[in-house]
Amino acid sequence: MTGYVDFEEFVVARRAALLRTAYLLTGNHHDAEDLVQSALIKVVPKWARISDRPEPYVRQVLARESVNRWRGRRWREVATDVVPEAMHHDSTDRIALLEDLRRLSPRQRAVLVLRYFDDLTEADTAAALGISVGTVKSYARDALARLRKRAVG
Amino acid sequence: MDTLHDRLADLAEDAPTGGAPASELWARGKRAHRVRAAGLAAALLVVGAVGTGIGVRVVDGDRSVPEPVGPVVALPIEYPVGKELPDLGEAPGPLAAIWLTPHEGGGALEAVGLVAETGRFGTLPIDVSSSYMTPDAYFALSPDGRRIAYDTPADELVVRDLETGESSSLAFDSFQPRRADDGPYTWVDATHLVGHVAPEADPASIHQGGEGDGWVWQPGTAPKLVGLVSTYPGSPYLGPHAGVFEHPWFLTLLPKGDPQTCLSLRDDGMPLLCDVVGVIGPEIALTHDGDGAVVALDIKGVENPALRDVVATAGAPLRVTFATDLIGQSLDADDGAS
Repeated sequence: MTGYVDFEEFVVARRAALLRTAYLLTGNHHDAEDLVQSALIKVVPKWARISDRPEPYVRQVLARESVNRWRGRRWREVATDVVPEAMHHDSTDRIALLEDLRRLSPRQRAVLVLRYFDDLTEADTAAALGISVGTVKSYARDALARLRKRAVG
Repeated sequence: MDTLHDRLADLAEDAPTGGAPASELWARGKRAHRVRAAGLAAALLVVGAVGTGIGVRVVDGDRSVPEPVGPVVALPIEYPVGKELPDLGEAPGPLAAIWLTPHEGGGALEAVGLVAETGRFGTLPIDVSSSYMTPDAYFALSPDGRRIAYDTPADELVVRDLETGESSSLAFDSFQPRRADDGPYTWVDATHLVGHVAPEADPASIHQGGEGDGWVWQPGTAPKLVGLVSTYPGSPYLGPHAGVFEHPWFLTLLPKGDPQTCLSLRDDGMPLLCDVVGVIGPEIALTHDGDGAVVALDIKGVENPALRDVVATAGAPLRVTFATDLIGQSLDADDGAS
């Protein structure tokens, strides 16, 4: 009877990390919690098969869910309850980065987060999102260009 | 704050930290899977699917098929010996197993349950009789794991519904003839609890299957007089290990608490299975592996009934009882999925 026990241990140990990724993918506290929760619920039926090494699969579900959810829809406005409580010396940079991220497409954002925050390889990023390595390169290049343009502008 | 990674990591510090409990996520995942599986079953008449579960029925036109749903019950079950366990509350939902164990530091017995839905162990707020310290006391978990029957310190027989948390004290005050004191009782199915009447009522009937040799109780009713053998022919029931001692294959019985004798006889070449803690149908016995975990043992391969003798001996925690239907259907589902 180790299925749930393993799941609980994983949730306790890794939820915070998943929430950080989800927050970058969504830009919103509520959406981040909802995204992580949705991903964890979705992996439960597969748990017996992934329990030895669950994180890659969970993150794959998380990434794809984020793209599917927010595809065709503008990233939500940054909730006002997020930034003020996190205000400190570099809060300006955080706000600017949030604004930059929200101007990217869901897939561009997902590629950027997986490549440059989760430090996945291009191949792993492609596998996580179900796209080709070439597409990952393209999205990453475009996303970085837009960020640089904003920084310069 | 030079690299993009650093900036993203800094931004991620603002991430939320909360979320629903793991148990809730697990339960919701199981429920969502059941809904999807039910739809698939209705469309394709699929029987059995990934996962485990208790069988219920979904209707597809004129046909009904087992829906692969329900609580997760997997073997082996490893008793959480020496671990601090949470209180499961009055209504934890169906249990896969329940047993009594001496409380840490002595004193009253503690009821420990294994929640089928989550696989979580915990204690149950059940005040059991001190007579459970003796070998001849009984308690019983219904085959579907939903109800537990037990004796209170006031010698009342109580049934607790583990889904609603409601307890029913069986009304034997006006019951005639008298219920057998400290007599065995067990569930013959999910809703029928049966037991003996007092021997003095009709001593011959107890062993001869007389018309009034027992009682039966259903939720929401008072106990009724019944002829146990005539009403439930062939059912292995009633005994300190209900379904074990009376099982047709379990021919050789040794005194409880005598596992060494069993092991000794087995070492001498007798075809005995020691330390049986439950049976599921005619082919599966629940016993312990070398590490003390409960495992299912397939005994159908023994073609000669004379060689199927099984010795039931005391094992594991005191008074362990299992939701045998629930576990059995999980085993079936596992077979179907493999």
